[in-house]
Amino acid sequence: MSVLLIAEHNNKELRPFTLNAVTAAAQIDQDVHALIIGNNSEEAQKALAALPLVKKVISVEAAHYENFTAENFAPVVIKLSENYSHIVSSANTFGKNLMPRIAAILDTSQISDITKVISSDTFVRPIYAGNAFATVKSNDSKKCITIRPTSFEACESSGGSAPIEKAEGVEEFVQTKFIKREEVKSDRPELGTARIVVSGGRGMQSGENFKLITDVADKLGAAIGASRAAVDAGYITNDHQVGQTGKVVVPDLYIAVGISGAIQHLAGMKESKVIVAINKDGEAPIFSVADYGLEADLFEALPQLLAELNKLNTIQK
Amino acid sequence: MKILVAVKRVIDYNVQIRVKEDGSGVVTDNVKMSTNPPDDNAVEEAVKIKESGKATEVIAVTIGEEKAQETVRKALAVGADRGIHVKADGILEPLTVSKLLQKVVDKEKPDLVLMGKQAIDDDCNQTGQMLSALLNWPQATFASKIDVKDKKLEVVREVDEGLETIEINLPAVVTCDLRLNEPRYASLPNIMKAKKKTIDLLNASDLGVDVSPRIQQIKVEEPPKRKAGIKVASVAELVQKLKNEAKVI
Amino acid sequence: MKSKAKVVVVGGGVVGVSALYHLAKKGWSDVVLVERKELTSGSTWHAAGLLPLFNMSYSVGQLHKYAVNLYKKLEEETGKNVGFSVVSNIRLASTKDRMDEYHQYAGVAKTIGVDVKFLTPQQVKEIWPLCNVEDLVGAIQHPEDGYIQPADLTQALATGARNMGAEIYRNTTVLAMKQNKDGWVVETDKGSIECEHIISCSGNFARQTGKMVGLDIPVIPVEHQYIVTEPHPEILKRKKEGLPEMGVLRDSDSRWYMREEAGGLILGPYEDGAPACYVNGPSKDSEYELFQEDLDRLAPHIEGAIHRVPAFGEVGVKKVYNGAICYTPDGNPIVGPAWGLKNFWINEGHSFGITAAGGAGWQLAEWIVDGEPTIDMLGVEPRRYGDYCSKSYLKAKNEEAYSHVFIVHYPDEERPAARPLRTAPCYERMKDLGAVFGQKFGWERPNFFATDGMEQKDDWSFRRSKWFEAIKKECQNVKENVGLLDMTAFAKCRIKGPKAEEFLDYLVANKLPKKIGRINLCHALNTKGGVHSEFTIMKEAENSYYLVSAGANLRLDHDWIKKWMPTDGSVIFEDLTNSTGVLVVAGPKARQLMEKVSNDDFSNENFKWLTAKNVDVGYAPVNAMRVNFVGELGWELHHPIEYQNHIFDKLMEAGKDLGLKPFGIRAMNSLRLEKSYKLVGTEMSIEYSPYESGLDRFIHPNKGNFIGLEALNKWREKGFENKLVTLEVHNTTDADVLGNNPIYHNDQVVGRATGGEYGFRLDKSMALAMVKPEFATIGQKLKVDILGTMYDATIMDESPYDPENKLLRA
Repeated sequence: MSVLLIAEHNNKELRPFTLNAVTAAAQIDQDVHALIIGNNSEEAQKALAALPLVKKVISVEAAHYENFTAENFAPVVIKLSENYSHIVSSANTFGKNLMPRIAAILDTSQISDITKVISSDTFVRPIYAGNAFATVKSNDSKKCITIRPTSFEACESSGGSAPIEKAEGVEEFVQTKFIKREEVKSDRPELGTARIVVSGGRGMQSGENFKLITDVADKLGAAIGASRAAVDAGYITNDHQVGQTGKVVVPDLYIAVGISGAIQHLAGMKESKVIVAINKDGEAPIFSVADYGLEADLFEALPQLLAELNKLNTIQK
Repeated sequence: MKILVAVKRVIDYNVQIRVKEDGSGVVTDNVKMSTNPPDDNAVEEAVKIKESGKATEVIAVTIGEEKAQETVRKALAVGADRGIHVKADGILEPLTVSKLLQKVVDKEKPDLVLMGKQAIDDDCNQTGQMLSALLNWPQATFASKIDVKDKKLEVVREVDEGLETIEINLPAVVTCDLRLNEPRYASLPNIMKAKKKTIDLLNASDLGVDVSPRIQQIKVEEPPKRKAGIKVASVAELVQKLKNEAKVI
Repeated sequence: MKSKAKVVVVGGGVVGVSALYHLAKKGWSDVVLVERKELTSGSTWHAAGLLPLFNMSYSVGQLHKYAVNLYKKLEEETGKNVGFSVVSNIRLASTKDRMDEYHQYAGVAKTIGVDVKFLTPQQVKEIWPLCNVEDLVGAIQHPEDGYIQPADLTQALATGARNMGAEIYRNTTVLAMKQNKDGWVVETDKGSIECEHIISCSGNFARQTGKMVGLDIPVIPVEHQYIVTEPHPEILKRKKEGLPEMGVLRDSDSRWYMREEAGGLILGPYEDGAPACYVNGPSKDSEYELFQEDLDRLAPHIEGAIHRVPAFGEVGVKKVYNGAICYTPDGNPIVGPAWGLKNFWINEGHSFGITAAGGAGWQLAEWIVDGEPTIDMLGVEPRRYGDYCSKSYLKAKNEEAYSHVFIVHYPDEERPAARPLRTAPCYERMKDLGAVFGQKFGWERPNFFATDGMEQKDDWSFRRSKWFEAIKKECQNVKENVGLLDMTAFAKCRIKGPKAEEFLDYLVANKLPKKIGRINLCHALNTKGGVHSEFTIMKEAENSYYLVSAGANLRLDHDWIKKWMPTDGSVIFEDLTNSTGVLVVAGPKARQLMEKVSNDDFSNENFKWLTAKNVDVGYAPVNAMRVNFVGELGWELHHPIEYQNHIFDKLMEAGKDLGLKPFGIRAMNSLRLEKSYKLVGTEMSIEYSPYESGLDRFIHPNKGNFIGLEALNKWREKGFENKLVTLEVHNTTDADVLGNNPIYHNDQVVGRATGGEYGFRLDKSMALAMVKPEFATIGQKLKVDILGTMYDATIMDESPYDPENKLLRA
């Protein structure tokens, strides 16, 4: 049996995580067919055909596929699913939105967000926000799977020449209407969901000094956090409080500045992917959870940090 | 308009998850449980819609063991009008849950079903989409803003690229993002009052849905341990490490 | 990790870290702490951080007072802020009994130097405008009290300890603790540490830690919940206006505490029905653990809180914390040496751990480094419990202790859970005679007898209550006829062997009885010269002695003996407590009674005071000792326990015509006060030299060396600060001295009462008191505070009832 991979794209190019999904699909079965549903998506179809791991590209085109709505996509996948043992897409908002709609109609119990392929029916996936990993085996004859993109390398993007087949779509689902898509340009991301958080503690010594934090946060497109001590001392309002009685954050990068690392604070941020601690007290408990610790006076370190960041050409946001 | 809100009882988000030594799952005995956080947003949104005069009734439904009722009580304490508990034991997969919810929808005929975008225990992110598929209703997942219009909703969705706005006809299923609103806290008098309200009890077995799992859980393991951190000597070294080693900036 | 250290502290909560800190501060820098997970991850992290100075116990009160002072200075010392908010603490009273309790407490506070103010309901309203004061009688306020951030406090103590050289190993699990010839080896998953001392500060793991060394530590935690609300507009407004925080509010009669938290409120009730938890210990991975909240069982207290502070019901509940707090059967912690083990120390069972950690660490460091604590630790002594503390007993008693946190702490309170447990054979007979029982060391003992239609039920009060009349009759009957008292709960043992005499002579400060059959009252001093234990010692045979001491101190006294006893087999210790019953007959007709039940010679010339003889009572063998604690002619009848009812029945039958009636512990207390007889723990303690306690005639510094002699001599050179006196309290009407009452001279506190009661034989309200020597002369006029009212008092002769002991010797 073969794997049907649902490509994510913007009609012009493939969205990058499609490459990771192809890698995962190929680990399930070598015979990977990539389905691309869109409108005027020739460029993206070609890019898909160029992936060496893709054996065949199936293209479905119609005006009502312009905006990738799950209600329109799902029936197409279901129609084509007969010859496939696995339907795969990446577990970003595109795949998350779409796949369960397919699985429910196929009466399949979906396996979401896998991080590892053990065999064609057995996978590893994180549960409890990555605090545990479950190895699960699907007993369904057809398997619907979304993959965690960051757990699989992107596949080779050139050198392939898969044939591109056209297939028919189905009629439009009219109850849902796309209106617009816009990039967020909020000045600063919200604390609870920001990719980067820069937090200050009692070591900041005053509310004015939080400017040093703000400058770095602006540069990184980061949210601003604070320890309870800093909030209690009135340096910053309590909606910035990270910790047990404040917000629990799980950013990719957490920079704790002048925070000693009371347990209440750690409870609010220790699941962050990368933790940086800047503190002049080398014994501060924050260092025990930090991936990178810098023992330094924050009043020297923060301006230096800003200067170093300014030297970088690009900063991920 | 009648709104059905689905709520799930999960291990409290503050609890340190512990994996059982025999690998059969995570420890749930004597562990604090609470409502799945984005489900709280769903309840809040439903109550807000009702408060704005655009809905007439808010019904909270939960599916699970006896104690799952606590989540319905919590919804009642913040303004839901009545509650339904579909009693079912054991592991319930989203597919099963959506089939059971479909039965409840058939019975209650709501115009809108709200729920959290994802449960923080199994992290599946499936139920809302599956339910709307089974009902062949429009879906709006990851909603961060809902505008109720005549027989329609305009929903802003949190997607990877930014924000997406769609318009869906009712009836529909909407799954809620944490950014949708700030759930209110119930006051103690309301919590106490909610305890006295009756909750309609249904049994999953009576609804004609096969609840046996399709996915076999082979083992549950702890995540790899966090590797010991290092001390860096300078800011420059720190930035270099963040850029090239950790790849987070 | 070090492989050798002087001390290993097991457990990194605030209690363990404080112990480490204080050892380092005392100069022992070669000390380490091992913690299974992270510091504070057991119960410290979820503690509400309150620092209540309020405590009815003299020793616990001093520990708390020390801690509050220490915490105030920590930031200066360590550079770490501990978040100490000195917001004061108000305890409300809705009843007169509650006010009595506060007055009694205020006396304790006065004697240990803690500031307490009395407030009117109106004054409460001024400080706490959100508080409804309509139905209040009054309140007390501790201006120095407040709350602290427990995790910050722990970190500050850790920093302080590290700065002094101590080391802390986190994520290190103790696997075993083994004794070797020099001390201990602590085996951990990161390696072994050899050490001299171990301190167990393992909180919820106390019983597991104890098991590793064969100790059954009487600690089982209980679930405690507190509710955190979202901000309230009124409180936010106050903050905006720059008004001070309203302070910690305790509505004792509704059984909760409340304080501001981030613009909202925290409510912590102490409800009935809170279950014990971790009964078989937490899981080995347990950290930062909370349980499911259960608001149902808090319902009456929540209603009470909303009644008292309506604002509390107006805002949403942000979070409910339900976490484990350690408990012991009496609610006080366990701080001190383990029994039966050398250099193993227990610092467990802290239910007010944040407040107690400082003082517990302080005294343990004194104890470990200098060999003795500096304050009387009886209230927290690990050996105050015995092996009757089964798991089921602990579960029942600890849950009771939790639900009793805010109960009115009547001085005569007897708690009902897990009773009856240990009963003397005559228990049912005493009960049929009207006995109302109390419990001591697990034993049921008659406190008094309800007669003449009185309900067979206790009646607790700070004042004279229903039992006042009952004990009056009992005392009068002892004075006029003869009374019978069950003292089976006494701790009893035999010390024998070739070196028994030599050892005992070194153990106690009095001379040992020389002749077989003689009895002496002897005191064992600690190494600092304070009074540790009191023994009645009877010489049974050459190199065989029978020792009797207070039942409540069984483990303490016997452990003290075993600690000093030679280990080469030349002295043998035999515990006779559970195999020996004791019935006491006392009163002018005691001789007639004994002559009726025995064919032996009870005449004064052949059975002198302070002698003992083996006699028959009925058909039963009895060791009759002519001593008693009530100051009348009398005998203690020690007997193999299986004969007790035979003896009891013989006595009761023969005593019919002599007016024999049973009496209880409360009558005994009144009777002993009239004789100025002292008790360990009140008139005698390690804080007092035997001379201050008036034990001069029992101390023989020239008899040869004994434990504490050197320190006692030095103490004498330094001079004594106290003198025990017997007081008559004038013009009392409905209350007598309860103990810990401050004694005044011209508005100056010059001492404290140690005990009191009405003396029915003298028809005077009596008290014993420790006062400064310059105010200790006979006839000195003083004043004593009883429940907030000042009474005149006069120092009387010692033993005002029968000062020449004519009755005893008759």
